Amino acid sequence: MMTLRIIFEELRINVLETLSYKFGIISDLFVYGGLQIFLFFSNTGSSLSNSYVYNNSKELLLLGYITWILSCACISNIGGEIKREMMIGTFYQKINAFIPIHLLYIGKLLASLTMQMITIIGVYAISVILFNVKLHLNIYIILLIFLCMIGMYGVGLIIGGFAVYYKQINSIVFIIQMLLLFVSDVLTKKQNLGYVFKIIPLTYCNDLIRKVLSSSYVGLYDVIVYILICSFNFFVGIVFLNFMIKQAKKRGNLLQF
Amino acid sequence: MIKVNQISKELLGNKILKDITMEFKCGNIYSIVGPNGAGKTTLISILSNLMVPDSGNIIHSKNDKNIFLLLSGERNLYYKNTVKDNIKYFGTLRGCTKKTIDNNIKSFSEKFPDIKNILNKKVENLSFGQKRIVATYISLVSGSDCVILDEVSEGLDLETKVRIRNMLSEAKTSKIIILISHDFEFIEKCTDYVYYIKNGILVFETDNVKDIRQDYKNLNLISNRSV
Repeated sequence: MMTLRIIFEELRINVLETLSYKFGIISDLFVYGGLQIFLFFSNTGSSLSNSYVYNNSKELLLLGYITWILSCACISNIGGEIKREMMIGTFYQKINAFIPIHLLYIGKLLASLTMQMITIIGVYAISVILFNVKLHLNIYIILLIFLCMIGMYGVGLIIGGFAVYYKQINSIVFIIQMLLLFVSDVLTKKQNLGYVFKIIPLTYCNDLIRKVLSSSYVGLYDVIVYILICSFNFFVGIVFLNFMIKQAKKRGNLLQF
Repeated sequence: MIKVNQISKELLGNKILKDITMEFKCGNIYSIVGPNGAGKTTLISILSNLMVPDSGNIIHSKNDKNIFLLLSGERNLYYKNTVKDNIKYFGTLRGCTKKTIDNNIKSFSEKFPDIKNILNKKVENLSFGQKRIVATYISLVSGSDCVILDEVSEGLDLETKVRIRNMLSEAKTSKIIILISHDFEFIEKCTDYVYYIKNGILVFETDNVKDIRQDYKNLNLISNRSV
């Protein structure tokens, strides 16, 4: 019960804080909305129609694009936030919190996903108004995206681990976000995707949610592999963050910012 | 009680702390003083579980995580949130129930009414001194057994220093308070016990805080700083 209360309090303070940064919300809307308009006008993702035998490639693209936006939130708001919190001194309170830091940051994850819904509503509105593209979501797609968020949270914790030890990681977060756009099948479906990119939850998620959307066959094997990939990333993230915190404590640079 | 047993720490080939042994008891305010580079920050990092010593250990009579480290300067708070949000947040983070937090706010606010007047203000709208008061207040009411304050009086006017001093004196009955400071006047007026460290070694300790300036001179701890 106390764990839930602490996670909720983390969610609450982060939502309140983000709401204060109104320009941040507006700039997110501009960046993601602008990129979406560019992608839609340039007919990016048209090959998705052939890959999934579904005539509306823009809808397939939009689905992947929204999942990418959410994944970016997981990465930047966990990895990037750890760095910011070390600067303002609140991170050190979190290390000594009543619950482990990887549980505490679930509140932050939920807050960032909640706030990112504003961007997603904006992106969706652009799709409907400018391109007449509507999404046909169902419970399976939502569940698959939810699982992806758990896996991407793990990736965020890994980046957070680097932030704890190396401090300056802003450009890396940006590069990873951009990299995800191109290597995790957000824009097209690549046939010869490297093995490393397949263990990114977002890559597998994009494939499965598009299959569900296009009513293609999704085997039990695919779902099990997907759950394993998400769980793997989640647990690796927890272990890595805690390992890096331990290393920083040994090296003595945790408080140096 | 917190017992520091022969703590040593080496960083980048330099021995920062050498066999430090100290004891902190509930109900007292302790000060750790020493020139810059003496090892104070390393010591408080180890005390607050942010650094691991190379040798030695720390024995806590209670939960070893329940230590609140208040960093120097304008840090430690969420600026975009209200004072009340911050109090609630940091209290909850320490595992305090809503009731405990409310009781703490109530009892402290009665003794320090200026906190009551700013409870619903955003931290970013407070002055430097008010931020310091709020941060100190939070560290004291969040249910920690031990509070470590780094340069808590730095940059504050006399009136604010008195307020913080009163807060510390009020809170010390139920916890251990450790100050890291170069402000001898502040230390003299609120500390019960002083540890002097130099070059990572504990050179002297005393409960006679009245002679702190003289002790500091006698122990040859003066660098370029005038005492």
